[in-house]
Amino acid sequence: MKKFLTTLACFALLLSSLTGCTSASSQRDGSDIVVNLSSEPSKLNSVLATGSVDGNVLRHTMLGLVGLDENDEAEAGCAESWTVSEDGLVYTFNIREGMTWTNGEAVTAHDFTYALSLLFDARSGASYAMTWAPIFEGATEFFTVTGQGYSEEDVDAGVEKATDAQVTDAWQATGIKAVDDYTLELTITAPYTYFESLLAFMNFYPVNQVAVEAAGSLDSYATEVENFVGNGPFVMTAWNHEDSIVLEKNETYFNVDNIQLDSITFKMISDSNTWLNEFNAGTLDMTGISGEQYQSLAEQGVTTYNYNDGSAWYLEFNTAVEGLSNAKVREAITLGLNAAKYVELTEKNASVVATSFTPPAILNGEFQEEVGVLMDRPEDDYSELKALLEEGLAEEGLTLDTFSFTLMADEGDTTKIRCEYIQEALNSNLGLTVNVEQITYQTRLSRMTAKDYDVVLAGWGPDYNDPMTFMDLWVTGGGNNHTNWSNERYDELISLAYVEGDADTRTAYLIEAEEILATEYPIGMTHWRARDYLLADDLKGVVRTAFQDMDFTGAYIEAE
Amino acid sequence: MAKYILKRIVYALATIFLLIFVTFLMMQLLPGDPFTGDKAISEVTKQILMEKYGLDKSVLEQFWIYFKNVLQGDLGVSTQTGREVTRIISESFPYSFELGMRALLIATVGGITLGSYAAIRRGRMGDTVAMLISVVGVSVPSFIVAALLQYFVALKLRTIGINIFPISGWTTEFSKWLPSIALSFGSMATISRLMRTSMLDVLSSDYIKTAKAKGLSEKDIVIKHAVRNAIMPVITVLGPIAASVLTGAFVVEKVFNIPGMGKFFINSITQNDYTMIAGSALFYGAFLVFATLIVDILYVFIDPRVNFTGGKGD
Repeated sequence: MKKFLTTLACFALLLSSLTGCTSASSQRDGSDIVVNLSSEPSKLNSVLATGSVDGNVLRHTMLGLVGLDENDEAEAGCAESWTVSEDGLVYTFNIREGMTWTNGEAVTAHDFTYALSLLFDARSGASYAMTWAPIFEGATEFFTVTGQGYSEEDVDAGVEKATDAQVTDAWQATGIKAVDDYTLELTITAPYTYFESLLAFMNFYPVNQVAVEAAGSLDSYATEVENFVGNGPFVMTAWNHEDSIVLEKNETYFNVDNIQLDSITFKMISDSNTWLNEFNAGTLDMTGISGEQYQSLAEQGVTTYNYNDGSAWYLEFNTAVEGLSNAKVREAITLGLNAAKYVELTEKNASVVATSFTPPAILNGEFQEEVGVLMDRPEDDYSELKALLEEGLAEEGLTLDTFSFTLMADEGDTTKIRCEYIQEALNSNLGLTVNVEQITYQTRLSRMTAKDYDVVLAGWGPDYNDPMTFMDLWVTGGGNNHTNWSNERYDELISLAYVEGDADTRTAYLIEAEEILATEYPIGMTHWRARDYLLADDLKGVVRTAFQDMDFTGAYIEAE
Repeated sequence: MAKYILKRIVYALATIFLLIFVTFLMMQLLPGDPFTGDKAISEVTKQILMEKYGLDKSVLEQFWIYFKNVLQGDLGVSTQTGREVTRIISESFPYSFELGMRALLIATVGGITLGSYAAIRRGRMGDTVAMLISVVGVSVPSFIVAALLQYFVALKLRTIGINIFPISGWTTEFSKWLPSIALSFGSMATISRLMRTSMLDVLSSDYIKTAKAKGLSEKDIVIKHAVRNAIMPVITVLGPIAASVLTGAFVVEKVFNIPGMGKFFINSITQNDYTMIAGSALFYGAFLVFATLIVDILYVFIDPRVNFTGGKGD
C-alpha cells in the first residue's frame, strides 16, 4: 500500500512538473523585474568573490575600468578612455570624473589601486590572487612578500612575517600606480591580447577604502546590505539571505538615462519545480530550467532560450593509475562512450559534443574554428576502438578482464544518470567494467586535489575571453592539473603563448597544444554546455553569454 | 522533586557539552577543508586562511578555543560567507521555528481530531477514511506533499481565478499555510493513529461504561472523559515529534523557498563550513535538549505518577 501510494504521488508530481507551461503574463509593476538567481551569492566582496552567482549581482551593482558589450568586447566603464604603450605593456586609464559610490565618496583611481593591493596581498586570502598576479608587473613578488612567514616551510625555517616597510616597498615596486586622482597606470608582464576584457572580471572592480574600514575588516565588508557599497547602475536596497536581493536604479549613476529598469529582484529559488511554477504564475520574469523541463516545454511548443555558458565537460583521468597511464586506453574510453548519445540522454538540451577542448564561446568561436575537429568519434562500430583499448591495456600487462576503474562524480540524480550511462556505454561498446562512486562536491574537490581517484567527471568554466583560460590548466604541476599528466612540449607551448605578442603565432602555439591534448587524452572531452532558460515575453534586451551569465543593464520592458 | 529537576539540568548540560565535542571530532573526519574550491588556490593562501580561522591548530586546541568562545556567546564566523554564525542563526531560526510550530499545531489538533473521530466511528466509513488519510500521511514524504500542494493549490487555483496562496516565500499569512500543512502531514498521521488506539482503549474502559450508564451524552463522554485520558500517550510523543518537525523542515523550506535554518545547515555541510556546521549543530542540539528538559519537567506536573527516584513508579 505504502509503495503504491508513493508511486502514485511521484507520478502526480511528475505530471505536475511536465504539464502546462503558460506564457508568463507578468504581474510586474512598472519596470520592475523578478528573476531567479537559484542560490545565495557566497561573497559580494569583489576582491574575494569567485562564483558566477556572485558575479551576477556584482555586475549590476559595480562598474570596473571597463564593461563588456553584448559580444563580450571591452567597452568604456569607469575609464572613459585609455591608451596603450607601443610595446603593449603599459595601460593608462582616464577615470571618469564625477562618479560616486553609494556612500557618497568619489570614485577615483585610488579605489582601483586599493582593490588591487587587497587582491594581491596574500593576507587577504583572495582565492584568485595567484591566478591574476603573474599578469601584473611586480604583483607576484608583492604576493610573495605579503605571504612570507605563513607557509609551513617558512614556519619550520623560522622565516618571519614581512614588516610594514617591506610590504610597502614591494607594493611600490609593482606596476600598479595612481598617477593622480583620475589617472591609473597599469603595467603588465606581456602584451596580453585579452587584458582589456579581463578587467571587466569582478576581481578588478574598485573598492572603497572608507566602506571597508567602516565595516571593520575586509572579511565583514559586503556581507550585509548595510555594509555593501557600489558604484554601478543599480543600488542594493535589500539582501534577505537565502531569499532575495533587491536592486534599484542608481539615480546618481553616470549613465542613468540608459538604464530602463527601475528595479531587479533576484530570488534564490533552488527547487526546479518551484521556479517553473513561479514562472507559470507570472511571478518570475526569468528562470533557468533543467534538461527534463527543457525537453518537456519544447515538446509543448513553449518558447525557451539557451546560451552557451562557455564551460567544457570531460572525464579527468588519473594517469598515475595502472592502465589509465596509457594514452590508447584513455583515447578509447573518451571516444567509446558515444558522446552524442551521452549529451542527448543526459543533458537533454542544446549542449554540443566537444570536438576539441576550448569551447566555441571563447573569442566568439574563432579559435575553436581554427582548431577544427580533433576527435574522430565513431557512431556505431566500436570494434577499432576496442582493439585500441586492448592494445593499450596489453602494453601495460593488462586485459579487459583484469582492468576496471572507478568513476568518481558528485552526488545527485542527474549525475547518477550520467554515471550510469557511461558505465553502460563503455561496457557495451568496449567491454569495460566501470564502477561508480558518487560523493559530495567538496569531497570530490578534495579527492581530486589529493589525486586520489581513477577517473572523475569534471568541468571547467572560463574566467576570461581567451583560450588560455582553458589551456594552461594542464601544465605540469599546475594547481588545477589533477591528472598527474605531464608533457614537456605542452608546457613549452603554453609558456611561449603566455608572452607571445603576435596573435597568429600565439594561436599556432595554442592549436598545437590542443592537438597534444587530443592525442594524449589526459582528459576525455565530452561536451560544451548550453544552459536553458525561460524569459517573460515582454522582457527584452537581456544579455546572457559565457562572460555575462545575466546582464540586465540594457534590459527593458516592451510596451504591449 | 528539586533533586530530580537539578539532575535533569545537569544531564542536559552534559549532553550539550558532549554534542559540541562529538560534532567537532566528526568535522575533522570530513574529507578536505572549507577552502578547497573548484579552482586551485595557492598553498600560501590556504595556509593564511587556515590560520585566520584557527584551523591550523590541533583539534583539542581548536575545541578549547571554540568552547571558550561559545561560553561568551560567540559562535565564530562562517568560513564561506564571512557572516557571523550567531547572526545567521538569529535571522534564520525564527522562520524554521514558526514553520515548525505551525506544523506542530496543525499536526496535534488535526491528529487528535482525526484519531478520536476514527475511534468513535470504529469499523465504519469515517474510520476507514480517517485511517486512509493517516496511511497516506505516513507513506508520502513531505516534499511530495509540498510539491503537490504548491502545484494544485497555489498554481492551479490561479487558473480559475483563485489567487490566494503564493507559490513560494514566507511573507503573508496565506504564504505560511501550505508549507505548514506539508510539514505537518506526516506527524499528523502518526498522532492520529496513536490517538485512535489510545482512544479505543479508553472507550472500552469501565469508567466510560459507567458514564454511559449514568446517562451522560456521547459528546460529554468523549470530550470530558475519553479524549482527556486518551491524550496522555500523545503528549509523550510530542517532544520527539516537535524535534523531528523542527529539524526536518529542510525539504519543505527548499520547495517553498523559505530562508529558514535548514537551508543554511545543509549548505554548511556540503561546503565544509566548519564554524557554521558546529554552530548549527550546537544550536539545534541545545534547543532540542532544553525542549526535552522542559517536557520532562512539565510531565512531572501533568502526571503525578512520575517518580523522582529512578525506581519503578507507583
